[in-house]
Amino acid sequence: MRTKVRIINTKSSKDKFNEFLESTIKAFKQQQLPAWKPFFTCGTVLPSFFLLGIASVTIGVGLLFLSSRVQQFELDYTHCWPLYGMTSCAQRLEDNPDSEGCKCWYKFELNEDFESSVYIYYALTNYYQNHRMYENSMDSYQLSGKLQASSDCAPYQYKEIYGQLVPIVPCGIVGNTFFNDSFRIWRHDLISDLAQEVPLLFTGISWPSDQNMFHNPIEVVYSNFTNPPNWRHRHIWQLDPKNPNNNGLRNEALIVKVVYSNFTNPPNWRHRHIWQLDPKNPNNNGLRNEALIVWFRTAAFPEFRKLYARINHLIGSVYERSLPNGHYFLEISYNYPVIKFDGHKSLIISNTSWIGGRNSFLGIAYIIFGVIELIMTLCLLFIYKKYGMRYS
Amino acid sequence: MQAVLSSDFSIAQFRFLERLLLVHGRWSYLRMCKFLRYFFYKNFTFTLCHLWYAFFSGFSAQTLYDPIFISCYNVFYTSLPVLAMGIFDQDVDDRVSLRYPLLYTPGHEGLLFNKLEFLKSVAHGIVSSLILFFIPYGTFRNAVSTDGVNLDDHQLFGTVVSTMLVLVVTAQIALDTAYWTIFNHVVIWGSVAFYFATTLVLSDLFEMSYLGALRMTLSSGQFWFALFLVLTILVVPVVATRFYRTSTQPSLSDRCRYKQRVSRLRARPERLVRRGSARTSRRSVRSGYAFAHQEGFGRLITSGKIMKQHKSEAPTPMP
Repeated sequence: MRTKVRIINTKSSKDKFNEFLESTIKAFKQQQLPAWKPFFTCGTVLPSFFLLGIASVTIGVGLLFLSSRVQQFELDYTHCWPLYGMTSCAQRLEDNPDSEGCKCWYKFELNEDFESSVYIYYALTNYYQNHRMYENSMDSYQLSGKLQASSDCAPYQYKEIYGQLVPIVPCGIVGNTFFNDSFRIWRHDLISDLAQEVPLLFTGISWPSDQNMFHNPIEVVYSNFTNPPNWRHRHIWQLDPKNPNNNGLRNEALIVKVVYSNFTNPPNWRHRHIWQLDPKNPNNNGLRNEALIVWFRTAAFPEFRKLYARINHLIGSVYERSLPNGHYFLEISYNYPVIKFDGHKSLIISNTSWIGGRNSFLGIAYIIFGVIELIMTLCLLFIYKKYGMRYS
Repeated sequence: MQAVLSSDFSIAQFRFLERLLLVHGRWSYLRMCKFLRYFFYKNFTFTLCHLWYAFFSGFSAQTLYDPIFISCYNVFYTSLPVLAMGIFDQDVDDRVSLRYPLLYTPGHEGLLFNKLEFLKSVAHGIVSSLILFFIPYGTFRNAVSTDGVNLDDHQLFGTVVSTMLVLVVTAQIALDTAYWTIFNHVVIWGSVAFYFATTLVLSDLFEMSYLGALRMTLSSGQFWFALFLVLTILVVPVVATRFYRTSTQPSLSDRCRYKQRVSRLRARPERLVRRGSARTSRRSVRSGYAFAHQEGFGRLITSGKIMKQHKSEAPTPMP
């Protein structure tokens, strides 16, 4: 009798792994790796084009609708006239660049409630903040709190004061041309005939990442010194962080002034110093002033707008849910000369939607693209039916 | 040995010449042409955006992108996918290439890369750069975020265009790659992931003003809608023209690919034209080696027996 002998395959896992590796290497060298080979067939291309066209038109309509719901008010005040005077504010600045305090007044009316949150912007035209020489003329290192005089900022690197060259903070053309118009808005309540100032917030207008980048050199003041041994980890500038006037050796605004005492302001700032940018709010003063931070974020195009302030929608006030419709007074402190380069200045009051301000470009582009695509899909379908090759 | 070292290609036996030409030579030509076309397109798209930006920056030669992006674009973000395509790409199988030698004619006629193809790549690059610049321009002009903060600054706009550029050229290489091995998958998706990872981490290496730009970009709704629009505008015409061409004027390569896709071709060496080299399965005392001491094929060839067999066979019908 013959007995059948069965040999059981007992490969160890190591052998199996080696086999797998060898077969993969062989496939690689023989260019026979497993691969996906896509091919455009009628069944995949045309339905997806059709769906894409429908989706584009839908998205476009949605975006247009969202954009049209944004409420915006714009006021060009370049050639505004002061209450008393023979020339416009712009002309006054042209004639005498050192003149200060030209104030214009405007009366405007909002036809509908501007739903919260409402923002105030200033817009400039024909202003090339994206010019290569302009953007290079600043020193980010200085802005992060390590005050120094950098040659990047020439010619606004030093200012001559009583025969001495004093370095400038913030240096460069960008710092020198800091926008210094300011606005105040009053709401005219027709019933009581009282004008109530609209509360504005000047913080929270810049990027959070930028706020981490700009620092006042506050610790520099105490950097060569240290705290007494028994204080352990407590430092003199941490004694009352909530009240800057009660911190450090005295008041923070004073310290800020001391810190900047070896530096001066750019020439165009005239009598305004960096520690005076927001005296009421020490967290918004010096190099941390958010209007300064917003200004240093140079715009991409010659026509731009920058966030000036947010309306303070205080709970319990008439501004809680919106900027109500009605009559408003606007007072502009006109300090910034633009007519020399044919620029225009405007004030914009606007709210936003979840995709930003009023901009109908994307909606219209989607709709046009969707329509073209649907037409193209139909043409392709027709061509395929009539002239398409049938593979045997 | 010296002959091998001083030659571009060396084959051990004459029967390999057919594979060298019809399989490897054809694939090499295909890969090289696709690589060149893509490279010109990619660089024109990248560079011309600066030209369009010049119109808006007072012609001051201001760069649109982050300096780190400019340095890394050609080396890190877009080189590996096209390299993988240049190494692995195949349009048809090697068996099909041998079966239909006429697939080799595009190489003869220089169809896949010539002046016209170069101009087409350039035109494609110009149109892509126009779309890549002006759609973000329209979207981000005077743009603000939901919280009212500005989104219309130079650095954010540069980041928007850079991100869209990387995604668009990666989409184009994804369309060009006809043979997706695991390596292609890894480098294509990996390049995009690498772009996001490095930009999020290194954006403030040279220019501090780019810090936070990518994060603000990715968290704005306008960017995503604009990105979707740009991708569809640039991808759909390419797909449509390819679909149109393969439907109405399919080349031999397209027909072979379709056939390969529909039915699995099994290698049938007996039906192949190369009757002469089918003798590989049989051991022969004759050697094809030129410097061999044994008798070679000389007498067999000069007797004309092989030529007679070729003439009498009908050519294989093409589908």
